[in-house]
Amino acid sequence: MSYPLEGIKVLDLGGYIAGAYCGTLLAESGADVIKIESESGDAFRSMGAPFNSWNRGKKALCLNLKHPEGRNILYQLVAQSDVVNENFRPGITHRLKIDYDTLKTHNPSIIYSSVTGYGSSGPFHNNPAFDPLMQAQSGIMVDQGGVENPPIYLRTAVSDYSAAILAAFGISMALFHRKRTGEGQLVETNLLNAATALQSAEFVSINDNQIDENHLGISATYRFYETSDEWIFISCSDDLSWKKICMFLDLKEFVNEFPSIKSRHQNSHKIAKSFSKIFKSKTAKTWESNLRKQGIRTGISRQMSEIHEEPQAKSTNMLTELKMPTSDNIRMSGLPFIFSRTPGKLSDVGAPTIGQHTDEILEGLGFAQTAIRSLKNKRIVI
Amino acid sequence: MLMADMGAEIIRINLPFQSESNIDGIDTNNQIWEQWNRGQRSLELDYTQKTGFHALTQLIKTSDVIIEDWLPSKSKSLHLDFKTVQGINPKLLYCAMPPFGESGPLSDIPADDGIVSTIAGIHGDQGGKNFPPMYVKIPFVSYGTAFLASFAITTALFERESSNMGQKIEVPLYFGAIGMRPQYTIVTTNDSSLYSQSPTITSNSHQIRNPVYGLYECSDGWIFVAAGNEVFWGKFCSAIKMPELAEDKRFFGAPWNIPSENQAPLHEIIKPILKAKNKSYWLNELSNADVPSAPASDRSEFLSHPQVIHNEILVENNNPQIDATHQFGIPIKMSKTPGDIGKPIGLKSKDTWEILTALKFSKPQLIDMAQNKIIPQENCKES
Repeated sequence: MSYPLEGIKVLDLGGYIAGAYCGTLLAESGADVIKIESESGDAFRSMGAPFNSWNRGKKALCLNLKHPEGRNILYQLVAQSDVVNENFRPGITHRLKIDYDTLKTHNPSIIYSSVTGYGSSGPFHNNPAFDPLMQAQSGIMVDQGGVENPPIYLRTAVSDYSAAILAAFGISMALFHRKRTGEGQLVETNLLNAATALQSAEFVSINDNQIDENHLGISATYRFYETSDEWIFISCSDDLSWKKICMFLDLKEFVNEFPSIKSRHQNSHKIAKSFSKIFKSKTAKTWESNLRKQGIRTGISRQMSEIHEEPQAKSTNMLTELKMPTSDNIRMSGLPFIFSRTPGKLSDVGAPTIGQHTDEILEGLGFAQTAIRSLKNKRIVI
Repeated sequence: MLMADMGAEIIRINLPFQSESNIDGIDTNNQIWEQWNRGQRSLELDYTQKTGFHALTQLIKTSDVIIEDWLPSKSKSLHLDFKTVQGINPKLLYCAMPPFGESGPLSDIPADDGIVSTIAGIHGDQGGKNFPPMYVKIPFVSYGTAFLASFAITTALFERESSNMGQKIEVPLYFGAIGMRPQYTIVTTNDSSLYSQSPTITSNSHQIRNPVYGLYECSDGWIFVAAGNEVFWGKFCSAIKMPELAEDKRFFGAPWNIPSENQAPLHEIIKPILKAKNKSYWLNELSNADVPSAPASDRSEFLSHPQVIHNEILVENNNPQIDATHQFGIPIKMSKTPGDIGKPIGLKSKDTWEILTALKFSKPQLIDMAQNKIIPQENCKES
């Protein structure tokens, strides 16, 4: 075997991020993933290049699931597949007759993953959802803004991504369980649970004793400082790092004045004031290299797109270039994991266009050219 | 914790006197320790000593997975790097979660969530290009890395069922940072400024992604409106009684491709409309029109959210060792293998004698190890 999920067949009805990215993670673990879309396609195709992040490594089939013949094609595919992944609004899969209970009759050992906004049942389950709504309700935005300030929106779809990865985790657990027992099952997660998972510590220990460092960090010993050119992050909360940095910055008196995490916390503003003045005096690169020599944790603030210039990223195969059929090639991140014996499978082309592999997939099901043409004429496939 | 919830037997191995967390802002008391380590058993063992290392070797022989987050140089100096461990148990899956990677120029640079997020551009992107970085409070890089590692380990376990062979899995924090927002790494060959930094309305860029996908202030607080596709955009225009906006050529391409010069004007049209009424009015109107929207609430309000209660994602705390009202539930619902949240982990020395006895260490051996401070005394309290 070359890949961890080699030979696993996935029908990916997912869209946006939470559904689609799950399919790409499975594809990058070696599964054969078919993205199935309606004629209008995944709404996030309109995002342009970012669409590749969530859909590279897949094949694409365009199928009208509202038509009985289209649905029958799906049933035939289900009979030959291992996993179905979807993130429709609750109710739609029942209406289309592609819910777990229906598909199970076509393949009893199918693993069916459903990612919803709020859950598949419960008082809010019918409400439409996007990532920021979960950020808003779960406290992430209010927390990020700080007391008395407007809430702040995180520029990362944290609950979408978490839900997608958790779904992929659930699917692989279900595959493992099926290998041992032969049993398929329904695997469900949702954006609300994912947003909660990202704050699992915060919810058991709701504390408001974080210090407002004007969005630069959470205390004087864990925050950004402005240098003569760029911004640098310093992490020196523990006693050992604290001693090291005080000695290095020539603030020996601070070692005894603020000997505990608690005392440093209480005097955060005073410490930050002294540190701010000192850090302004030299360049970020000078600070970074000198502090690292002392064993103090530090790093210079970057934009994520600067990763292409980062030697660490270049040296660990974190970057790739995808060939694009209709636009310029794009450079972006590679696989988010490394396996020593069964390496991940990184596509060298971007996301498929709508229905790019329709013919090939239907031929695989035994449809003759004439039958495919007739299906296309009826717009059951495209 | 994620794997323990789903039935894996996890032994958490602690060096004596090791502190659990040294980052302030995170409590070092029992609450978080119990939350993240529930359902696990704990073994306190000085494996830097010969006898302790031998005991760990016995455990490695009988285990399926080892998870560590050391710098690569540390795993070598402990003689617990992949090669050595593979020699002890060739079927073992070894999951390394170092900050930056097992190789490369930063591989042995000490770092934590804050540092890795900084270098990966999380805080820089949140602040916006040419603005100061903005520290993102929830450590989502750490969580994302943990989710990715759970996924990667499980796929490797699945593969091992057929191949019967172990391997090394690497999921550095740096990879987790990228894996949680890969689209922001995208640059085109002739245009390096794609998508990642386009705060066209800089004064509001911390509130909105675009004028129909953002936070709006009502008369009594903030709500998020997420008209995230064309259909919702149309419904939104009707809900605010401005159906003409949907026909307005300036805003064609909504929601994601409104020309940048027309975003601020649209934002200015919408702002006073939403400001004129209160949150519950708008949430009700938007909900009736089927436009995705939600209030910006704080964490304590979220605890009583009816769907949170229904999903059992924040369940009543039943662990007497945690001074908290709630604990996190199970985020994935599996119909045949639902899992459970297991027993509290308790003290970090708690299961030491039981685990070693099961490995056929005799009582005199254990007493000897305790005397040499390799393990705690039997029935001891926290060392």
